[in-house]
Amino acid sequence: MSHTPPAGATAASPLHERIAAASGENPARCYQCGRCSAGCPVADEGDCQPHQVLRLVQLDDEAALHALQPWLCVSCNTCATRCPQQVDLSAIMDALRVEAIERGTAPAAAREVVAFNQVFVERVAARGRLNEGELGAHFNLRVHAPFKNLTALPGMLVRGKMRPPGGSIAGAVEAMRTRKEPQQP
Amino acid sequence: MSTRLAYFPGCSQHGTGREFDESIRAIAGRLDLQLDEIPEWACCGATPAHAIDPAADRALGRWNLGQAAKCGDVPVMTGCASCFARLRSARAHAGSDQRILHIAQVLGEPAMRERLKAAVVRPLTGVKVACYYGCLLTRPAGPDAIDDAENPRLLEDLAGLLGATAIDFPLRLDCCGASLALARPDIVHRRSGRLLAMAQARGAQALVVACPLCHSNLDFQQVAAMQAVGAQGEIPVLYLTQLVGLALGLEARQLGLQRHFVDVPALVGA
Ligand code: SF4
Ligand code: SF4
Repeated sequence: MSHTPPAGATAASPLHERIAAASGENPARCYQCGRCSAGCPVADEGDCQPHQVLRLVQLDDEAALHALQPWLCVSCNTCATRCPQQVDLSAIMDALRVEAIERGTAPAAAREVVAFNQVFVERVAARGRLNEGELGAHFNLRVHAPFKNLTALPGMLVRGKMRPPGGSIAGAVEAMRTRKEPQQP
Repeated sequence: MSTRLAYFPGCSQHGTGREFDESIRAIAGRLDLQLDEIPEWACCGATPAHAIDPAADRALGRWNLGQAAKCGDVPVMTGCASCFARLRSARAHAGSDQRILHIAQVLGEPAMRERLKAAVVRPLTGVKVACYYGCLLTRPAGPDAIDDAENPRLLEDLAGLLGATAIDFPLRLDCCGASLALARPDIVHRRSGRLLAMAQARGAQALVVACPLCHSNLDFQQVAAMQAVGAQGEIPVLYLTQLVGLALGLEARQLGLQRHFVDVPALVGA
């Protein structure tokens, strides 16, 4: 839903204003019907349901920034497709993750998901393209589990699915280096 | 007349999804599609970029649209559902009128359906398939998605065109667990296992997908996924383009079928 986010949300603004500014969505539109959670593939995997995360935002409850659920969100967009109020909850989940990283509030249970996302972006920033083998190796180092998923490697190699990284895409690496960092709320 | 497209393979197509790229190129040759690979395309940023670093998502999107423009005034085509979604998003942000197409859409265009029908030499008559859309082929909803977000027919139509029968598959729009594969494989196994078990229980001989991440979660991870939901047996997972290739008479190796973890039996005519 496009609307004008409250201009000039700052770090001291209430949570709903910060999330509105970062996501371009208006959390107040949600009337808690739960349709998003009904279709969400990971609704039952986390610590609360997606519509409850949104309620926390409406309540300006900073617990939303400590919740596991946004980290399990796979951005499948089912919620946004079905919301009778045209709230794009997946965009709100993005905004919550970005702020949770900035404020260091991501929960311990999300450690591996956070690491995966960060390593992914770092690898793309380094080469402009992603090599899955490199991603796996760097992820393992980041989570201190050097042998994680390693049994998969021979099968991948035999099938020609794991190849050494090619060169870098210089222009894309530069575009990533000079990207404007997300604005601090 | 040959149809020219600016081809965006995407990172997976160089790795775990290599046979998707191989089968796209193989059927393009038979269907008179000219694929001009976009020079120096970059990673689309996939889910992680927009999830934690919107500036990275935008930077990659701008770069890729700029590179695509170097192919001239032709539609951009990709096979990866995630690349497709990110390119659509980049186009929307840039306010550009660049056409972004998924390979399934290209195959579904009226003229191409005719070309496809005429090119079928080995109809897949009697083969039952479960067509799986997953998350990002039909979502976000919009006129530029491949089909209706809630009741798509494109994959089933294409399977039908090849002679195959698409079974009713209520989980066809439910996510496989996507990018949680490395960090939370347990969740991916539960999600993917449910899909596989349902397709199997409903008599599908193969699952048809159009995304390298879906394929990896459903093929490479299949044993663990089946175990996670207490199901048994196996079911081959084919890329849409491999199914098309089989009907067009291409050989298994030309379509990269030997790269799968779950063997693809000759039941689909290979
Ligand atoms: S579907 Fe929309 S209105 Fe209903 S609970 Fe979810 S976000 Fe709120
Ligand atoms: S986008 Fe996230 S919150 Fe929305 S349905 Fe998908 S996984 Fe659930």
